[in-house]
Amino acid sequence: MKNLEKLSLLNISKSFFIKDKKIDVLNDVNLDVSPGEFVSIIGPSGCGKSTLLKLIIGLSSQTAGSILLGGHELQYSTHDIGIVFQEARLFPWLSVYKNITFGLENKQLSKDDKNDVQKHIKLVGLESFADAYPSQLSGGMQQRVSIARALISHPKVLLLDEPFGALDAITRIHMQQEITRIWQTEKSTILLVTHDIDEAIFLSDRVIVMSNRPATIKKIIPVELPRPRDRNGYDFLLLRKKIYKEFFDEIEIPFSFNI
Amino acid sequence: MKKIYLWFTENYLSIIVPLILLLIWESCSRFNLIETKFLPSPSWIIKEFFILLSNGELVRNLLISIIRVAEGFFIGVSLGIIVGIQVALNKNLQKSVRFIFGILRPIPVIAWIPVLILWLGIDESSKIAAISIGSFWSVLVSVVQAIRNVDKKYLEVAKVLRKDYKTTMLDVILPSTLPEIFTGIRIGIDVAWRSVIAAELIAASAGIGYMIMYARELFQIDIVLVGVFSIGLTGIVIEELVKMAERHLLRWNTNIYQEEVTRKI
Repeated sequence: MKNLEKLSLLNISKSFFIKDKKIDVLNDVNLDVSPGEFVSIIGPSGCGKSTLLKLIIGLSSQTAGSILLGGHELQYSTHDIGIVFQEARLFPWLSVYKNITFGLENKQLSKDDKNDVQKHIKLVGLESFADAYPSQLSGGMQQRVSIARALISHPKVLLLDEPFGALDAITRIHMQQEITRIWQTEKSTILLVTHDIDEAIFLSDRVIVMSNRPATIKKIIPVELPRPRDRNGYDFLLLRKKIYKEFFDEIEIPFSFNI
Repeated sequence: MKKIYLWFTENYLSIIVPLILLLIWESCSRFNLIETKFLPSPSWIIKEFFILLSNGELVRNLLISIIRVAEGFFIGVSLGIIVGIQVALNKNLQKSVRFIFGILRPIPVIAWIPVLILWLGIDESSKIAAISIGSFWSVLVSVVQAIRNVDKKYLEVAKVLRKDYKTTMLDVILPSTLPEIFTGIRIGIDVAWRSVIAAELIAASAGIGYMIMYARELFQIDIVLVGVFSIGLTGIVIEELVKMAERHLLRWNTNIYQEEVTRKI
């Protein structure tokens, strides 16, 4: 069993330079994610949500601030942190099985590794597709493989960068249920970036609303609904309305509630 | 049987048109409309082909040429891939060789042959060198291009999974560039096959090019033509072999093997 630790973002700022013009993307972002917590970040498009995940995973570095895991500077190891991108990004020349094992450190698989891979293939429900190539899978199935590849090294923190954004509505709902189940089995800390308000409420313990650029945390909304969650429950809709208000004026909200 | 029938209905023109042309050629020779001393009839050439096939002359010379191609091509492709990777990944090296390669690349292999003969003599090594040069450039260009086009998203995956340089190179960059490298290899083998003929026509003591030149000196036009056409036939066989290798190595690539992949599911 892995030891989950608290992920802390301290005073994170990030600026880009486009033709000598400084553009502030993130401005003083502070966030603590408890061990095993599921936190979603939503915000207007282009606000820098994905940039934040890039900083945490180490694909880019922050202009200021620090990222701590369990009180120490985050080490970029696959045991600490993993990511699922919006596109599955599988290698088309590898089978499903080999794409997943690419997430492991060693090429030589021990017996335990092999068992673990089988367990993860089962976890994402692709038992009969282990030898298939990515081009033979649907978008949803590809994304499952990508999740298994990120989970195979048992990261303490899993980052999800709009992982279901490219899927159709029905598959997306299906995957949201899957990710809840996977989170409950794997017990990772999950940080999800999404633009889907329903998805954020359905999945998370807390929803973080980001402001426009330069992005900073505008509001933190705890979601204290029992799981499995009913997307049409009164409390769910109330929360949804509350989050909509962060993005639109009262008048623009296109629905009202009559109970 | 049904399969053959279906294939034929799709492709009958590719068969019938050449047959008609051969028929016209044959009858022109029969009715003395063309001078058979300069252009023998197809039936005569085919007869000569079987004579040369049965006395082993044709096979022996073809094999010599094919072995030369295999050796030179192997050297050219290996060098092309190694140098290509270095050039693609090293910005300074890229700048250093830009003009050198720019000048050397457009030189046709045939222009190198006199130089190579002076340096290496007229035996095997000069021919192998010529073939290597020919295939080197086409592979080099496609490798450099392919590495430049590697999807950054794949590289990010390698990075977030904390893969080292060697793993990224061998398990991500190389396989993702393989389809484009294969295009280079296909062009390369074509160039190699042309180069060997050119080299043998200029100076050789064996090989299909030599066979053609020798027959020309004896004014055996039929043997010359058998030689010329067997170059074409061998070219087709080589191309098919490369395609087979490509299909096997790149079976994940749906672009080249659409039906097979979907059929498997």
